[in-house]
Amino acid sequence: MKNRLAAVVLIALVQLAGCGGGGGSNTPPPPTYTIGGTITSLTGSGLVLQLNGGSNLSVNSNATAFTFVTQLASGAAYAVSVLTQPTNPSQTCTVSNGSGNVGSASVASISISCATKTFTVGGTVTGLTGSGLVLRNNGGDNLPIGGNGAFTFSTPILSGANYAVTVLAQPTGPAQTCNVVSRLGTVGAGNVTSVRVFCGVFSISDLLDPLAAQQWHLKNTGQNAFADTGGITTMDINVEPVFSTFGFTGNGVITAVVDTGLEIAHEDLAANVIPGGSWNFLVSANDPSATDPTNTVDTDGDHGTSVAGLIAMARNNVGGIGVAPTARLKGFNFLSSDQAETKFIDSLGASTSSPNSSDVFVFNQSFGISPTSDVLIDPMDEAQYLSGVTHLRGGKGALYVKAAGNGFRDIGVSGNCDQAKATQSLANGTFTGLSCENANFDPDNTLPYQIVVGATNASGVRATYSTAGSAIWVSAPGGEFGRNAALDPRFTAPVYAPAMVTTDQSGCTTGYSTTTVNNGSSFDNGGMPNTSCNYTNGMNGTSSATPVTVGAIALILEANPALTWRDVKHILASTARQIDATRAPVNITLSNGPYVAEPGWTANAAGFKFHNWYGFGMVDASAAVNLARAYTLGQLGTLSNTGLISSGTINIVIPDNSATGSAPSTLTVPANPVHVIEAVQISVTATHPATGDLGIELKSPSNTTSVLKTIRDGFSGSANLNGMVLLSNAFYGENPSGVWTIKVVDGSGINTTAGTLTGWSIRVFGH
Amino acid sequence: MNVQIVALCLMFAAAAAAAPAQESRERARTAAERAAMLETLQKGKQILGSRGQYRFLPEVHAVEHEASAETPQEALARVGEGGAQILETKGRLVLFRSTQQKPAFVERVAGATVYPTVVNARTGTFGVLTGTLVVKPKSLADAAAIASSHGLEKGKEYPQLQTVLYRAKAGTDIADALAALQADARIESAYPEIIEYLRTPK
Repeated sequence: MKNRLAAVVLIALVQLAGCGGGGGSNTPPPPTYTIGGTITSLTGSGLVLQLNGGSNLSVNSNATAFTFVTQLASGAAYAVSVLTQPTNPSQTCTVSNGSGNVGSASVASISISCATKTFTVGGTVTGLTGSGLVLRNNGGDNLPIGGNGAFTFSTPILSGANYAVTVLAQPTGPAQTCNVVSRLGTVGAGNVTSVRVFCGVFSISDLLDPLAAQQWHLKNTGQNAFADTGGITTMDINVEPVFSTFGFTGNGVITAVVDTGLEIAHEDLAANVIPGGSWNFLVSANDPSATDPTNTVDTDGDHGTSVAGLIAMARNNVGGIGVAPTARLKGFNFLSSDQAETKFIDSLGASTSSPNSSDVFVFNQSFGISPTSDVLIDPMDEAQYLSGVTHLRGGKGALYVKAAGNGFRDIGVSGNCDQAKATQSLANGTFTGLSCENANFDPDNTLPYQIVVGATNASGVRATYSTAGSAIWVSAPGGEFGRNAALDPRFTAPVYAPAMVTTDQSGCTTGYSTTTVNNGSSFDNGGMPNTSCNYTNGMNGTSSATPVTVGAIALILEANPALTWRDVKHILASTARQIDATRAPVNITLSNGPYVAEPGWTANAAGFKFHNWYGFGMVDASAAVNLARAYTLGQLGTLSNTGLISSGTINIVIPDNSATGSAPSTLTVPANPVHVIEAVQISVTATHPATGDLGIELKSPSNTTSVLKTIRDGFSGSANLNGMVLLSNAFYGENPSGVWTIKVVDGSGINTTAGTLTGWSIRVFGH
Repeated sequence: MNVQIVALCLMFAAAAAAAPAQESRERARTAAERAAMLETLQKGKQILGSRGQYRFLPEVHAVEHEASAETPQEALARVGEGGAQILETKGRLVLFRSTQQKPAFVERVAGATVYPTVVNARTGTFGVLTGTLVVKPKSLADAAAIASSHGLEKGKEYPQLQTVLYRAKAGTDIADALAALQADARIESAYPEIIEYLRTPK
């Protein structure tokens, strides 16, 4: 079978061979040869070679050889040229031995040699009146600057290489502070002329950043910030004197926005974002293209991008400016992650790589939890906060700035705020009455290592939503809602009062500002002057008050980098501005008489005035910077604490609906080791079927009373307190030695049952 | 500028005369329903966590969903639990009640990670066990030996916190591994990483 098949095939082949040639001779085609050669130093992409003006060959970056597809016969002429030069980096490639005639073999002798181009780095200096300014590029190329105007560093930089311009020496005679913006970048295909150096002082009215005039938290002129109504002149953080007197802008201070994300390429943030310094927990990578932690979860706005703008929008003639417009930014999108505790501490200074949070000076924490029963702090979180204030910033301690919460009216649980709301009414720009949420609900707020911030509005009173509580340290502008009634008429007055003007995710399809839906304000709908939709006028919350405070701290640290974290807290407390000074206490009538459920401003024995709505008052950046400059280091001594001093089991009845409250229970704090109070923590255990009814007061040996938990709050019907930790800052500066007295009051909001104070303990922090 | 603020914003529009009595009844009903639901769940081993005692829930599991790409229901379908009852979501984690009772270990199912869950014995709050064990050895020098003797994978170290992270290997019951660690004389404290309260923008 096989032999027969082979014979048939053979015959067929013979017949086919006989068909060829048409009767002429069989001449083979002339041989052809390839044209190619070697390439050296090609790092850019996009190189295209051309053969004889027509045959193009694209060459990949880093290639070391090339061969054209087109082949030529012997004797044919060849001429190789560069059609397109490579870019990224920009290079010039030249051809050697590029022409000739093909012989009897392939051509492989052509040489392509590529060299990366160099470009100069420069920019402009403005505001310089002193002498001696020296700029430096990449840590080595020093350039003395003699006056205002254009400058160019002498050493050219290779395309594709980075440049980093810093101030090596500040001017003297007169002394000035010069700040560099747009100071970092990668050299592209041309000379860099975009570096800007601003020297000396400036006023907000000098700024060419077009939205700065509407940033009422910087300078409140009564402007409406694109809302319907304006605020009250001077109800701001008084930062302009810092700019106009000292020229401080947060230079050299690293801040971290621990949040949902951070659009690192935003036009008004990029100049201050530390390249490679941010971290995206969703992809866990440090590749630059993957570490932009722009929020990929919430499609209706990236909270972190708006927070970052309030800290450090750049002074760059677009958008607005941050409180510290040259402070450096890192973004850690912890809130968009699964929120494992290890990611939390990695965001807060515990990690030296992936991410590196250990070089951060000030952490912005515009977040929190709103539990409806007492929650204990995670011990690893507490340990990290303690570690951060102990070890970071070269042992001077990082600053942890934390939002108090937005739960004055509501904490998002149906019914839990009914009792508080029943005490509230709207008057003079805010709600009077009792706060539903207490800042002490979030256990992270009950640590002395935090700076907990409440929010004020443009009228200089508590923002309508701002959670109250004795854990608050200071308050700062957080604004109202910034809406326009013409676009959304459903609401009452505060909604149409100014919110904060800050950065938003770029473009009109993502972020708070879009053109795809009605966002309630013309500005946020992409109207003038926000047609790019890169900004919002609707940011608010203690989320906003927190970065405003972070920015102020950056200014303080620039003024005096030697300050410890406790020094900064002390400066803020000492210089905060008392606002809403005539605010009356909240009195609630219980069965046996009136009860002061929320005290008004209280001056303690050390002379500090405190209010549960405002802490020590609204941040005054100018006063704080002035004190920072004159501050005597070491005056706070060493932080210590008394340890927990416990009552043991006491089982004291908490009578229902009684202003008298529980019989006083006392604990004695010894004379050592704390002589001056910096914070007081108590832990309370009580049985009661509705702990929302319970108010907790603490009286110091100096007879200062602080309400650490108000009656009729959002704990509502939650049963029992199980060692709930609460913190009060109201005793700051007092001597703790002596008898402390606790009283628990049942405000009878929900339940008519008496409770029992089972026990309590106290721990005093200070020096 | 977050969900809570938006909700607050809407409240300004609400009629002044709300119906607190009705809301109180609703709240009581919701709380009672949740308590009743918790009662019906199978309770497993006790676990001592950083915030107190927890009980393992053998029939409640959690899976992470791609927030922008799929619904929680689709996430369940992806791991073969399409008909399961969703109990709660914690950010990107969907907690669901399965017909399958499983030991307390993290497993990969159809390319997704399925986590075991616990309930806080005091508050009734659900928590998700990530599989990470947070251990404070008396000496960091013992960190590797501890991993070896307990069959754990050693993870990140935090010297400043005297803390080491470990992960239970595939198929290892987290509750058992934790109990063994807590009984180890070389260890000062050990507890499981539990995702319980989610922080939100404020």
